[in-house]
Amino acid sequence: MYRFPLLSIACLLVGLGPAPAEPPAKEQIEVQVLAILVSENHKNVHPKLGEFAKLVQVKEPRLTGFKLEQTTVKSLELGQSEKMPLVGKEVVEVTVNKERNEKGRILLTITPPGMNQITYECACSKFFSMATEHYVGKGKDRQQLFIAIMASPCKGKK
Amino acid sequence: MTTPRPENFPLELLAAYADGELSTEDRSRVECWLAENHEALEDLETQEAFGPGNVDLWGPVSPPSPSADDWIATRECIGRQMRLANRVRWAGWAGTFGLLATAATLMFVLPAPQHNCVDPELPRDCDGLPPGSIDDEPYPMASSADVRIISLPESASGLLVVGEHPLRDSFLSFAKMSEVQFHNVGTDLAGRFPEVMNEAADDVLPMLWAPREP
Repeated sequence: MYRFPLLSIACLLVGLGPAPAEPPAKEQIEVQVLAILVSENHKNVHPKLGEFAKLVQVKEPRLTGFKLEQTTVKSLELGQSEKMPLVGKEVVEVTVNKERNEKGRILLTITPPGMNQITYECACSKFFSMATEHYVGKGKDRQQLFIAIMASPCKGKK
Repeated sequence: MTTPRPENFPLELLAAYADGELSTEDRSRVECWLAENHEALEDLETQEAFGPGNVDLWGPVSPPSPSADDWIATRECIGRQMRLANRVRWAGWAGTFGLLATAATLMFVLPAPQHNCVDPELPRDCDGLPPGSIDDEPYPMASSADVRIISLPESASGLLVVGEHPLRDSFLSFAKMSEVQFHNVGTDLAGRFPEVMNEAADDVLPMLWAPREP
């Protein structure tokens, strides 16, 4: 006779019990990609690219114009790949490797336009750059595509 | 420049003078001409009768301008309806949950559940506004804190209405040679390796330079 009320109360208690624990959040790595168009036919330098321009000119003094074309910032999980837009239909594929190195640094594998994969590790919050052989425009409007990539945050050595 | 004669004086210039649309120089030109051509004063009066300065003529047909009090009252009405709509929504969820819990408990005790549902009544004291509903809520506009821009062409950075540049105000810091280590450097599509700038000096970027096209 008392079975049904007891059963209903038990069902309610089960239904109101603590929710199952959620899996731990996956670590997010913020990856920033800059597309920079460099020219030898003008001398305009984007305010944020002053240091970059000086360092590039150590090797190529003829390159005098530095234009920031596209900025992309995405959060990736360890092991995740993403294609980041550069200019036109060109993209750079960035993979955040699954494991950090012994210093806690992030390893990135990138596939720039016209190149095969490059894997490197870099200090945190610092850009690593590359000159591609992709050009936009013709004649005096011809500009060379450079890319700069940065990932953060790093973790201390465990 | 000579003052236009009556037979060639443009009526549009007189109308513009009557409506107060002329520059100081043109106004003085017209006034000089009127001083010499009194017969045109009648045309001027006719133009002024249809000008914006004739409040008696245009006043009855001009749209009423809401006062500051009107705007405040309208805003309060919208806010009241939004609050009520939210309350109704939460009340509906709470009522549903309560009914389910009651029904589950009493299902085995009572022969048949009985309950009455009473819909809350929305206020209808806001003249000129339809009865409140969720559809009437003003469109929520995002602020810069609500928007995160993933990718932005620099040519559009000056056109942003809300949202920050993905770089924000950060300073671009480039890695030195001691801060980069290459694990694998692939070739280009022709099988050539890029040039690696790995000189020890800190004034050289640890850059890769894709092989030059021949």
